[in-house]
Amino acid sequence: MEGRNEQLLINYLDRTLEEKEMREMEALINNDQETRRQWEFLQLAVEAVEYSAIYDQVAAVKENFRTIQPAEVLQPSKKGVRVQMRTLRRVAAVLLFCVAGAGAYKYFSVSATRVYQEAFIAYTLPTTRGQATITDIEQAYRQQEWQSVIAAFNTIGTSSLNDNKTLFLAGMAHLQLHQYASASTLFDQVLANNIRNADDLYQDEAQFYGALTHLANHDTQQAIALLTKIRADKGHLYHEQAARIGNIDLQILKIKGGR
Amino acid sequence: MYSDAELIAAIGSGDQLNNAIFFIYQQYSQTIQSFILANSGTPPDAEDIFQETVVTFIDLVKKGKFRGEASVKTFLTAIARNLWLNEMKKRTRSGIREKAFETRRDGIEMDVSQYIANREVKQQFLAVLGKLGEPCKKLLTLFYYENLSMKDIVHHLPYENEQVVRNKKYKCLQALTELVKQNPVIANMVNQQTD
Repeated sequence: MEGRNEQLLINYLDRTLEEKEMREMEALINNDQETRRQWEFLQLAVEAVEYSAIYDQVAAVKENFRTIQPAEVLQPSKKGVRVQMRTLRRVAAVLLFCVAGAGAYKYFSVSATRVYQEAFIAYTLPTTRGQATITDIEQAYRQQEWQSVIAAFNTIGTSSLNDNKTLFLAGMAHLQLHQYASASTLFDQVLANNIRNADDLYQDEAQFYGALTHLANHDTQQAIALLTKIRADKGHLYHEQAARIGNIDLQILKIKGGR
Repeated sequence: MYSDAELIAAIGSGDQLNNAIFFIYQQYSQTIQSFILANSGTPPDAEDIFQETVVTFIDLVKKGKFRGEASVKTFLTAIARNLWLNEMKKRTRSGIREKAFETRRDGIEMDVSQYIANREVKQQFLAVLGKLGEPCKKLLTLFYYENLSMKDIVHHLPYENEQVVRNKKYKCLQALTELVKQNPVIANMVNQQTD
């Protein structure tokens, strides 16, 4: 019975039955559960044929398409990745350019003169209450009369060479007047006196302003030697000021000074 | 170049189908495959999902289930998205990636889940046809897919006459139906429908 049913169902599917047989089969499918099941499996079998045929046809066209346009189809991801990589490369290039640009700008903008100008702070004489006498040099210095300071220093003569305060103030007056060589000589004299006398009068001041004077005078190596010493000494009066000069700036000055 | 309407007509006509499929690959493969790749898919995933998308689309058009409710591009994208989501669900049970994927869906996306239902059954169709053997597959394809007559099939296959083709076709369909019945995934679906 099942075999005959199957034959009839296939004929019904292929529409090769007579009209009367078609109606009888239709009724059987609707009323008989087993026939309906058979009918469903038969329909699924045909559906499988159709689906498989479409699948094969699409696969064949796909292969053809891949042959004609291999670059676009075989590696579709690469385009996306390429776009992403291209974007990343662009960003990296821009960043590199910015970093290189910033580096170049930094390198060319850092100079001994600029570091000097940024680090320089005016030296102010402390007010001493009840002080009996104020020397001419001190008086002139408080009034920021740099020429008078120098003139007063010169009138004192050789005796002033042992007075670190006078030497230092005269040196600062020269520094204010951009007379770097004279200023440097006087600051060096202060340091020499301290070595000789095992003293430290105006030692820190002479070191710091001596370093600035060397910077202003483009004696970079000497300036760096002094600044390095000050930066290493946390108890130095001018440690903070010297530390504000960046390491990179110092390195650039070293490179530039070494050329 | 096909308009959407022309493309649908070309798929329906049969003899234009290869051109239509080629056009779909040309127009939409890049966009849709990029979408799969952007959502954790590998290049082979993207190719497979796009191929399945095209097969599903053509199957729907041939069955008259695509009524132009959206553009072909929107429809294909929605099918691909659903197929890929389905694939990801199959691969990972955690649901974490699916959740992230689903949150990216926009509000205007059409629901094509009904069209890709029984995806597993469709995959089993390919498996049972593979088991059937090439001569039977060829004969049944010519008859049920190409709609060739018994007389025409005699010219395509090495059978003596129409009656031999008819008998052979009967046996092939019988064998295929048996394979379908024995397939647990397909049988399970039929059992659920008839119970």
